[in-house]
Amino acid sequence: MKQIKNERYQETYNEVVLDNGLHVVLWHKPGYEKSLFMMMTPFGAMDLAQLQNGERIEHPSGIAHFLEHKMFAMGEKDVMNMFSEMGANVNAFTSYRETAYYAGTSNDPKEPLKLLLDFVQKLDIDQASVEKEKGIILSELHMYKEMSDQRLLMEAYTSLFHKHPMRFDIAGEDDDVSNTTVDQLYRCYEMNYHPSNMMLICVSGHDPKELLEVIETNQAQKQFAEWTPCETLRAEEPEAVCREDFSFTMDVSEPKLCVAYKLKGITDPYERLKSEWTIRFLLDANFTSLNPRYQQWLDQKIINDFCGCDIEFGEDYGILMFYSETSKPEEFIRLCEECMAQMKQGTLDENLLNQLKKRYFAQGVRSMNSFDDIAVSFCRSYFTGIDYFKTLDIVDELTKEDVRSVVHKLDNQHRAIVRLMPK
Amino acid sequence: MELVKNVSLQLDKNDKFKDIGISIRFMAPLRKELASLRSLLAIMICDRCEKYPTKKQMSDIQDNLYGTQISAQTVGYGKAQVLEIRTRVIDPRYVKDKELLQSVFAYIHEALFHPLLNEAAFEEAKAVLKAKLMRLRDDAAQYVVAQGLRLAGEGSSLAISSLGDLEELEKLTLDDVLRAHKHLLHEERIDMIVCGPIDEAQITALIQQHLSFQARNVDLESHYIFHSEQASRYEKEQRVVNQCNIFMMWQTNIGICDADYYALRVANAMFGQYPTSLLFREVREKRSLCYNILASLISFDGAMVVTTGVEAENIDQAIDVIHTQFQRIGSGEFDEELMTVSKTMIINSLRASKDSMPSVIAQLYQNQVLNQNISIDERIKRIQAVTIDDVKRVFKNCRHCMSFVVCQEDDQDETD
Repeated sequence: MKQIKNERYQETYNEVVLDNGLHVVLWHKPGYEKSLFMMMTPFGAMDLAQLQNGERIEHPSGIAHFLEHKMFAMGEKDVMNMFSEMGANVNAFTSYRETAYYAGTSNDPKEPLKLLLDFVQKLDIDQASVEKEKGIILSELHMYKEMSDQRLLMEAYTSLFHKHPMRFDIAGEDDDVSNTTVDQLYRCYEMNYHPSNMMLICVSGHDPKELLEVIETNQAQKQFAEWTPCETLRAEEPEAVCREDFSFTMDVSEPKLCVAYKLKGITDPYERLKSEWTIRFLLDANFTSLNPRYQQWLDQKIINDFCGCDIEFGEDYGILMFYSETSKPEEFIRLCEECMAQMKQGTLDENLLNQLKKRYFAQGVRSMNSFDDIAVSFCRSYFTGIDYFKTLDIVDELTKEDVRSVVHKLDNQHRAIVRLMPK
Repeated sequence: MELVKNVSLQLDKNDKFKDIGISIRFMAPLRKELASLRSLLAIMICDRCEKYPTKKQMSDIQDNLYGTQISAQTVGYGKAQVLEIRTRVIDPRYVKDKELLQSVFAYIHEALFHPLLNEAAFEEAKAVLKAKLMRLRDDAAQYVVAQGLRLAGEGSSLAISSLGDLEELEKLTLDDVLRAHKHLLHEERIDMIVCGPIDEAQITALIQQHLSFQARNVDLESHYIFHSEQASRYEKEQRVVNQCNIFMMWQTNIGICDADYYALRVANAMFGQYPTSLLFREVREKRSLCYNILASLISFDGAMVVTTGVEAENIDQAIDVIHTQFQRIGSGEFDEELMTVSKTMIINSLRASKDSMPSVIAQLYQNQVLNQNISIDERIKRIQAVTIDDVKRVFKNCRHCMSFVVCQEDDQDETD
């Protein structure tokens, strides 16, 4: 077991890879009563076409999320009940890139830890239970569609992409959910849930050695089939957006507008992260209250308090978006274009650069109060291939030169406008 | 400790946290004409102050204090509305800045004692609050709760939104805000809580230096037991929505300080708080009628509510099933295991609350407001002591007040 101590953040964790390939991280938080255990696979809503052993497999949209729901059945037993009986909570989430299962308790952590390993490492479903789950998933899908902010974001993704899986909701399309089969779920599970494709992280006040013993004993009792890694396949995505200007209506009081730019993806993970941070700094400097003109935009009612921006890069996509509630859509669009033009100049005042470094360094330190944040961020950085603490330190390393050089990634040629209008 | 009459300070030293939480809570009666006003004041306190009169200057100072932001919110506590000013500052040992806490308290002083209260800032805050209230209405799941409480709690504090309402907001002037600010500082009950890796003597000195208040006379009860004479009601509102939202409310006839309160917590947990509950099992798992369903207590008002979202054709069935589960608890038609598991879950969450700064602060505040000193361990003991008969008794004593449904218009195009 390898121990990693970080003086800057005053945190310690231990790391080991088991014989079956499971990567285990034991993060020690002395003084805490609770424990959080998370198992993650880098299989998410974006992985709709995969290649394994030379065979191309197409999954229906939403299958990662459907599988997440069905993992909670162990034959006749209900996993949630079993955790509750131990005084533990259990939950899961699916994102575009991963699926994660996590259990938390303030009681003795051993049994919940074993149960987490047991239920994630076995899929036990039948036709009847799969059919029954469809109603629950459709209800969840419809619930999110009723949330205007979620819907605006989803329509923006759908506007940006022709073929990329981000054009679908994480939970999938209604028809795909309704037609998902037991066989598809089993195949998907076998392709993506092997121990050597997963990570287990334990964030706990308990002794890491004791927890490791529990894990090793549990894993030694199990046999896993041979497994070869899968490759996610993507269709060629055109540079242009799918819908340049799209409107839809909902029962809302004020119109909402999203201006989204389609950028190129970045394959190198470190460069991807660094570019995200650099552009985030530029967005902060130009499109938030750090810009002295922000007050005028508010006074002129071009934006209101529901106003924001975001940047995200993947290997094969990039999204930069601005949004606000506004009844002056054309002025808002002009504002976004001006902001893009300003950012493309690639300048950031030294003082501003330093003050943003202070803000985000503290945010990084504070994030380590949260067991969930540690677990999710650590797993993500592991699957991305970047050292976890490096992902935090990157902010401190940014220079004015980085700001200048990121400019070529800010392409404003491919723009999608999404308008949510009151009914 | 009481610093002066009706102004208290509680310190909770805890080195495991990486930041220091500061919560300053002002309590006033929850009245329709005051709720919007104090919510407006909360927005203005966080927005700008005389020393930093632009948003840019506010952002600059916050960044230079390592992202120390001040947030303010208004929350209902029974018959009272609490305006809370909250901030979290990084533990200075991470930034090797010995003056950091001094600067943070000086900044809080400026924001709290000298907010920018002029016409322009007032109009902007009014627009912000108006937008928040409108958005609350836009979200059908939030709206059903707000409107359900307004209808079911008519004539009581339950019917008053602590965020305020549009009608009252329109009537407000800058003079009202100036008076409310003065009242906040000089007349209202104040409870301050500081939690985290602190030096108690240093914090006490900083509070005395920067957050000094005079004694005040306050006569304000927060908790009460909601009572309605009206018969059980069913109301429906149509909107352009695809999913229907259900709100149901019961009066519990049990106050937060009553001996039966812990039995009510266990009963509520068995009914609909956890995935093991009857509602989750029967409405979601067995019948696939919904994704989310939750029963929760409004403890300071003596009320219990259930909320869920279902498809239009399932509304009646869902309401029937919810009523049936409620009756099952009252008549004891459940396995003892359900009670045991529910207690275990409550105890787990009570223990976990020691590891969460917002929960620690909330517990300290509740004890202070209720003038009690019940530790987490004592709460756990009380939960453990609850019997099946206690659970049956408290639910038999509850009375259904209202079911309120927000559903789609009859002629709505369902494909939209």
